[in-house]
Amino acid sequence: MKPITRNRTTTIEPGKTPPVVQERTVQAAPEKAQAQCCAKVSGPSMGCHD
Amino acid sequence: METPLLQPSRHNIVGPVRGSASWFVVNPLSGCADVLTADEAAEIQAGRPDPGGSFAARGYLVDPAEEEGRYRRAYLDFVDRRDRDEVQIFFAPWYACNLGCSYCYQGAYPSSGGLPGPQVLDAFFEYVDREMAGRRTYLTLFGGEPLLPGASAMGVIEGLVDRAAARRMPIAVVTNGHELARYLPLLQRADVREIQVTLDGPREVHDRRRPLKGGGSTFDAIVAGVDATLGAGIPVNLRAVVDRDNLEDLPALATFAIQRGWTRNPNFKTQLGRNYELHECHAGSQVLYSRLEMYEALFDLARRHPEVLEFHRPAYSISKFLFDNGRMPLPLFDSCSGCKTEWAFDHTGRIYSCTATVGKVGEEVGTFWPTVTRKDDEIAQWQDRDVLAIEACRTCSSRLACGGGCASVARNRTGSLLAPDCRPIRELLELGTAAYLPVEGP
Repeated sequence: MKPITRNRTTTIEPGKTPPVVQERTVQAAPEKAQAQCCAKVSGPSMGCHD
Repeated sequence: METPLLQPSRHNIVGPVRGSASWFVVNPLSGCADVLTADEAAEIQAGRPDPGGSFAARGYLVDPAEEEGRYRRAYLDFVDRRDRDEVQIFFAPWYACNLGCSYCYQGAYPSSGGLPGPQVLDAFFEYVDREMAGRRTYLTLFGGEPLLPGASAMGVIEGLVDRAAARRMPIAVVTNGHELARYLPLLQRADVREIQVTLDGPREVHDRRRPLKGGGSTFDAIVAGVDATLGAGIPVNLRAVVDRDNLEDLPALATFAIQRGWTRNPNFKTQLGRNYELHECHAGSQVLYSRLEMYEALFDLARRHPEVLEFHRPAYSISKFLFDNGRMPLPLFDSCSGCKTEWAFDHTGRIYSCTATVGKVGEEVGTFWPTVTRKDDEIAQWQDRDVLAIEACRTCSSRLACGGGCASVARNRTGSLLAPDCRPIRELLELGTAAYLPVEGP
């Protein structure tokens, strides 16, 4: 298994939240978070409409 | 404490890398993505832990109760983030257009009704000031074509730009680009965030698809507008609307953009808009791609014409983001921004959910002029729509990458907003991992 994401690989301890999950709470820069969906400055036949 | 029995995560998306012996697994909830052997992929799918515990550490094998807790927390984070996000306000000053594009989805929209006067513009901004108080907003001029020729049209745009500038509200424009160079000095009175312009190919192809109404070339005027905009340091988002008739012409458009110096300009970006049936059946529907078909064709095209990638790197769902950033995007519980971080207004005083519905008869959710009205029940339906509310999404492993798709498309197809507009996430990742996975040396 070769990681694509740079998250740390650690063993899970029962009952504890894995570190990788805690990293999820780090907020992405707005433009990056937005990129997951679409180019927001756009209209139909673009971005979130397609 | 007893060790919980681990099971495959409900958010694993597993598939083969196209044209390779490798497989991938991505998990939008844990935020992990890995390249696997076929055996490892089978182990994960069967729920068998690996000796080193990596499958569990990466969130591919989980304690279902623990994962459910993380899912709920991630949802609250998503809603909280969205509530603090910027709101994109579209305004359509008319639905008229100076171009006669072969595939226009607004063809049946009313193009008359007169120009909006100062009282309409004032009412629009007063509504936004009041209803969006405390939110960051930006205004996107939309249409029809917002940048029409003529002093009357320019006067309306001037009224919008000056009112936005007075509020320090940034603006963007979705335009066909034909009159862009002429409008540029006026637009620059405000903070122009981006101008979206469409070129559908090299001159001959573009002019065939996007001529002036009544005929006539538009290519050179649009190119001059792009040059002027980039020259003014304003970002250009160049869109090409793609179907089977022009996809093979993308390499020529890419070469044009490269030779013009556009692709080296940091203010230049591109998007491909799939030509598709938004509201009505398309007269030439045989030329349309499905979403997956378009990406399959792009994948093949980029193999034959790598210069296309200098012009545009396809997203293949979350693939481009993943490889560009080395991390997964945040879980997407809702891909529809309508009535949440997007609203659309028009010159008649009507309010709509988004650009897909703006101007469509009967789809308004309220009015801002001459009186303020709101269809609260309808607005609530839009605002409640997400992958938790759509029953078909609740058990889909791709839901946090798909987000349920476009609400307008879903309603057009099923009659209900609470229906999915599914994206072929796994299939797109099969292509995207093949396109962007670094090739290992010998």
